[in-house]
Amino acid sequence: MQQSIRNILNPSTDNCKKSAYVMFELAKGRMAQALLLMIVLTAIFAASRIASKRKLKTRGIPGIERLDKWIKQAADLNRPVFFTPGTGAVTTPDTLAALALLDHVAKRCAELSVRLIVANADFNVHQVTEDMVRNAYDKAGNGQLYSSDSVRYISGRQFAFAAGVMGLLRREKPALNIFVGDYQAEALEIAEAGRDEAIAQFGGTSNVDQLPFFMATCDHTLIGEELYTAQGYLTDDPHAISSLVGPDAGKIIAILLILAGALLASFGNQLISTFLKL
Amino acid sequence: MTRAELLLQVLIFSLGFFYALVYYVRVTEPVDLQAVSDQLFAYLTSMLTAAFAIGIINLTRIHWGNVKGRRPAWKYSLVLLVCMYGMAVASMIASPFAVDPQNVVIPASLVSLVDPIWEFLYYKVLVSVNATIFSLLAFFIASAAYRAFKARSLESSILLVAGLLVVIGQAPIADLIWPGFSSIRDWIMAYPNTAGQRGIIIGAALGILAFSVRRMIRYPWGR
Amino acid sequence: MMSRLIKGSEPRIIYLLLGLVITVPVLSHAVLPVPVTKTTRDVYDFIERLPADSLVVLSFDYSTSTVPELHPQAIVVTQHLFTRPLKVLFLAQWTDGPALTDAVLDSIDKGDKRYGVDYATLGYIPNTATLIGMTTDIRQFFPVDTMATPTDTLSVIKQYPAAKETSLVLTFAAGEPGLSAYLQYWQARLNIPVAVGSTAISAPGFMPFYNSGQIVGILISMRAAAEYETLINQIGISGATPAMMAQSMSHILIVIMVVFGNVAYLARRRQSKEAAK
Repeated sequence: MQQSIRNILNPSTDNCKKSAYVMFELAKGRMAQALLLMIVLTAIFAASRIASKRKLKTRGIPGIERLDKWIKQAADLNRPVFFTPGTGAVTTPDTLAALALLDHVAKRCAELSVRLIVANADFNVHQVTEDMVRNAYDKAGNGQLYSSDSVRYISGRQFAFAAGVMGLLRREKPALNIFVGDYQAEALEIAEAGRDEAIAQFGGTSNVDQLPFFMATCDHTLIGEELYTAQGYLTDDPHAISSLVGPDAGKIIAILLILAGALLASFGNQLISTFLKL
Repeated sequence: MTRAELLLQVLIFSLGFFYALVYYVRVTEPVDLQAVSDQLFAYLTSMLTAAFAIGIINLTRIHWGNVKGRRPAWKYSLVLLVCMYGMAVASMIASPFAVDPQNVVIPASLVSLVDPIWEFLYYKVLVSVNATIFSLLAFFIASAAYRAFKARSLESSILLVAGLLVVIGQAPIADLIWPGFSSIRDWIMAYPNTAGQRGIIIGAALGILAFSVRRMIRYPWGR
Repeated sequence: MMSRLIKGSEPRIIYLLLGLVITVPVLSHAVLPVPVTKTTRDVYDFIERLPADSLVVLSFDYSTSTVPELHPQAIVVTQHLFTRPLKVLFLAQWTDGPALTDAVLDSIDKGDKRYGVDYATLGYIPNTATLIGMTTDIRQFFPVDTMATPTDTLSVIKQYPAAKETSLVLTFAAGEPGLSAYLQYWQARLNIPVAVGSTAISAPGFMPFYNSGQIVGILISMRAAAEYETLINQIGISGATPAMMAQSMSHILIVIMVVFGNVAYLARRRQSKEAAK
């Protein structure tokens, strides 16, 4: 339902004054969405606050907990750790989540004097990763381990990137292959090459098309939202941990809406679906 | 938080809030906010595209370094540089994205000389090489399926049976063996598959929402 | 030792067999009748029912890597559109799109269709603002076409100055940007019908939209191109139908290998249980 509100701030009087008014309308078909968004955001914040105050324990993701062990194993074997943040642009959520994970991995690699190799498919992501990795090694006092070859831009083309990464994996033989982020069809090729060369493989994406390939080839996979909450698991910051609980509150609302809508629709009542179309 | 970080944080939050507002509320007067947001996005696209040069410089630096220092596999680095710059020049002269389609500066004779070279490089080399790497997926899928589809538990057995039914149903020959295969495939795709996908999509969307809001409120990484 | 040798060589044996079952049918030109699926038929029927002079937009949202799957679809659909009295605009959200559009137009029989009158290639869409803006004014956002001809001199653009009058947009989508942009900005806002040509991997992700009626049909991979060839009665025009035997054989091989692998796995498990006793 469209609503138009005309708010006249200064009524026009003569040629010297012009009437200034603001014309705005609520976008058609998005009002229910906006209302739902506000409810979900409120639920997320409320749940996060409660979790933070009560210091709630989370279930833990086994792969995340083993990440440090795998990096230590790389240090013991004197083999590098390989990281790719996907083929997405720097503006995609998956890539941002991957960069947050890279921050942690770079710090741990720098502390344990493990060589970290990062391969990028997007030049903007490349700039961010280069900065991130260099700073991590400098702060840990291991600047000599960082070289210009550590962080590479391979190609923006999907399969040129895949071919480049496969070649890197075969030559560098890392102990740990981490590939999280926005992936398309090249994921399986990277995964299979990594499976042959690396000792351990850790993947993650929210792209449902590629998840089966990750599950089939990785020792551990971050599925969907786990990718966005991974950073929370890696820090001891209570705020970060409490943010893991927030999306669960949103999920409960979604489940309740789905159940209510399905039940009502089964009895011929379209209230919920009509409301959601507003 | 330093003053610069605080300023950056305020900027990030303001822009994020602005984009969210424009999506839900259409303000047309005194200024069309949708046009403003589109223009801002165009500026962002321009800035991001300008960074394309960084990628070229990085590639050139690494591979020229390999060639100059005669590091292992330096010949492949030389091939990469020749192909990269050669294709760039050919595309600028004769491609759908040519810099001078009306032949104002670049003579038409040069364009007609380069055009078949570009077409060969694009359709006969690039398309073929890309398709070749893409085709590796067929082999990798086969080996991944052979490895992953094992009846280790009840869940993996259900996955195995469902997966095999869909694989058979997808094959055009399946309908000649038994018409029921495509009906079973359609049912699996329409119901269990769609339900599972929707669950993951909803969960991921909520995760993105919480992640994005956290980023808007607290920019610095790791905090 | 033999079993260890075989275990270590398992991937190579799989690759060799797969290579054989694909190569032999392709070289022998074996042809298989391809039953038409509902998702493909819905696209065909929709195009068949379009009134004369309707505007159809084809969006080439794929690159050279997905040419084997999506290019045959583009060829058969474009050929179908050119046999009907329709107007066609070609767009692309991926940078490879314009070149692939040219390749498709070079490989079909255009009949009596004339450039500028019955069809035009507008080229690459650089951002969402263009995608949204062209629904109200094409000429403002595409002042020239891919051959640098001013669009206001093209009859098809004079006839359809705004994309909101589109009767169908069909996107051959290998990823993003692709279907979601058209769903969000064309279908949801303006009720323009959308169809999609997708790769096999992406198709399950589009099924929810098809089931909910947001898209009119899905062309799934090269198989849909083969089905479409049957529908338009031009077998082999895109090369998809001859490939179906190879595709079928490879699917059957994968099933046989998985079954064989499970039989071997269960036998090994039973042996180790008995040895433990």
